[in-house]
Amino acid sequence: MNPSATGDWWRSSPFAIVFFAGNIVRTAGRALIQGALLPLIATVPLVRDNPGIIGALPLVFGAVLLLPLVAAIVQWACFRFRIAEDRLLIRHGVFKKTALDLPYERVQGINARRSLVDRLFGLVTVTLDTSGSVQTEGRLPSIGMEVADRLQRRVTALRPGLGGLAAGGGSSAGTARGRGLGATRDGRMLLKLGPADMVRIGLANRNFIFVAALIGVLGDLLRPGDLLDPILAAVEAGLDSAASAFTGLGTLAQLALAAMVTASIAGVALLLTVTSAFLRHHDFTLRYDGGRFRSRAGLLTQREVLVEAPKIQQLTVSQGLVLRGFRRYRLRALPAAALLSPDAVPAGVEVPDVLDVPLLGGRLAEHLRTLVFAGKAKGVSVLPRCRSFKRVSPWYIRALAVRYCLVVAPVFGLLLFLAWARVPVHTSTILWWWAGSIPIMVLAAWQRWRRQGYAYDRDGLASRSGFLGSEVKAFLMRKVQSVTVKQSPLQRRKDLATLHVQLACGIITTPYLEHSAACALRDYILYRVESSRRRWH
Amino acid sequence: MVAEERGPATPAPPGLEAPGNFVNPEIPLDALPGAETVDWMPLHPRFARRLQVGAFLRSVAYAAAAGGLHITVLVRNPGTFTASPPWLPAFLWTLLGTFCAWSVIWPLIAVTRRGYVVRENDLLYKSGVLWRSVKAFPFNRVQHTKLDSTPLDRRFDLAGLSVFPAGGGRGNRIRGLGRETAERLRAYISERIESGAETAEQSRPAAESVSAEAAPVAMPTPAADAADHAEPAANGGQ
Repeated sequence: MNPSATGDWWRSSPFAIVFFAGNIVRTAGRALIQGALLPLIATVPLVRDNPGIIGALPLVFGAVLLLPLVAAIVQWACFRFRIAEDRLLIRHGVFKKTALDLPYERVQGINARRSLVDRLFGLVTVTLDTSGSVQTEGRLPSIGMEVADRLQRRVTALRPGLGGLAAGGGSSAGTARGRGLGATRDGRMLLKLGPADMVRIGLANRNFIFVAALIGVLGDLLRPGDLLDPILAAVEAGLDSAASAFTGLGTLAQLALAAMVTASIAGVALLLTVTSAFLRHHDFTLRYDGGRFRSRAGLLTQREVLVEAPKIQQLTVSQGLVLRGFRRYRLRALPAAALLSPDAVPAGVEVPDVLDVPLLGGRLAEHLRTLVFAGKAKGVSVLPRCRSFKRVSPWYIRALAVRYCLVVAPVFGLLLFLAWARVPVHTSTILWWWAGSIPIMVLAAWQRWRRQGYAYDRDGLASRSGFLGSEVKAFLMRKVQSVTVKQSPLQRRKDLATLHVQLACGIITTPYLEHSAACALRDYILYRVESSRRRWH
Repeated sequence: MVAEERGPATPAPPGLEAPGNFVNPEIPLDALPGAETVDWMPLHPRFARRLQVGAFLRSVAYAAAAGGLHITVLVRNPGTFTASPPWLPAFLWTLLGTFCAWSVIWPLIAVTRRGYVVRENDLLYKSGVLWRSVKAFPFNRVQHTKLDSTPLDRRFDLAGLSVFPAGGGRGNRIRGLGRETAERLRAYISERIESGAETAEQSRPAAESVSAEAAPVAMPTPAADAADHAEPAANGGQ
């Protein structure tokens, strides 16, 4: 309200130019993909008809490379920020000037990112999350470590309830330079991931199969046969002496070869996903001190996320098939305004980092839950296999199966129409396929139903869902924003209902409860919300 | 099962007494009115007519566009679609006519299914003919409200009220309130938001703590906490 006179307007380090240039290039690249590519292609005939123009091409390329740099320098020159007592002020913009005023009490979390350049020169890119929007708002690219530390101390000094961390952090400012933002504030180490865990994360990566398939397709396109033939010849020549023993096993050798190719494709895919896991999560540490979580990870670009436990709206614990084999889980702690599904983010919007623990054991997950929920909601487990989860009504299977069948019906209908129009012989085959698909749909629906579940106690509610893996979303009832009870015609006939609970970070759905249970839950959640004197966060 | 859990809350044990200025009257859970038993307020009686007029205007626009297409394609250039079956235009016109007629009739059915209730602590809104839903917005979670009205709405003296919760999102809109009702409702909700914020302020200690979360007095909702301590076994096996 009264910006203190102590803070001056700062400019970030010149290395921020890299950051701005990166942003510009990214935006330009997106624009190119989204439609500016056509004019570019249109220049091709122009170049073909006037060969003399080729001499000017280096100039054009130079301009293309130089323009973002110049624009970035101008942007950097126009970027100023000021760390006042109670708020952060940012002014930026070249033609359209923007002034951002961010009170510290609105800050949901502090994220720090240190790219390789940043780390070489002792700089850090700090982002302050607010609950206002999904987009990152207060971002200070490439500022000095001591400035970042001062900012963090200012923000945390306004939280007296979260322990005497601000006092402890003050003395460590000088030594914090070495590792990362506030590295010397030890707090309690909750988790540290090593190289073996990176391999696990790489294996559990959902993209693993996808990458493997991609490599397979690429390998096929590159005609591996031509490549393999010399190898085969070499193998044959090398094993010439032993060949007499293998002559009868031609098919077996072929099978072995196929297995080898598959294994090598899987190996390359694994290498890629494990590398990405190393890049993202190398040396992952999670600490807890005085009511806040701090995670740091990254091989080249180091990311640090700092979240206060009370600001966390929802805990999401997921376990895919591979993670299930490892008996490990993945946990995400969503603050307000974090989007649940990354698909819903419009292109070009940068979403702030959330607290994401890629691999942790069940006991630690439960411990984190008690820390986040401040000991409340003891009866709500975040582990998918916990017995406290109640199943939803079996009618859910029927509803899902009907829905799946409706989805595939147009496909088969179209096939049938084509068959009827052209080759009437195959109609029966298609009908058989259609009939055969129905049990599969029912099985899929049954599996979804098995994964669906909910658990609650006086303070919290958890909803479980999934198909092969499973995912639990848990939250405190008093953080709810609104509640909806919905009934489809089928549900009305069977006296069932679906409960939608809106939190500040998204909507959580529990389908096919008994109608009375859904209403009672709704009324109880409303009671918890309305009798809460605390504000929503 | 839930009913068991909603047993009466026991008073706070000695250790958990609230400070003097903190008042949190206990709400007996069974006295909470269920959302099903409330008297639903219907939307404004003119709202169905307004929707019908809107649908009619839209139908006229569709029909004009389809007519223009019909004339350009079939009357001016009769040779364009020689391969298409002769019944196709009639079929498409029937489809359009059914759609338009249905969209004019539908508001008569749909509007009667909508309704709202203003309770002491929340706002309920029900809607849906086949897929029915009841939404509840607690006042102490509403961030801001908005009134809006299109020209057609103003002609019928109607307005829509949007309620925005925290965390962004598009908000939740209640259409078809009388303009005066909507204005009064908005004022009431704003008042409730402010008074809620005030009690939150009062419940903080005198010290200048900024975050309500961090303030020690804001911590207990004593009745609920006490209930937890009194019946630890109640949550088991749920």
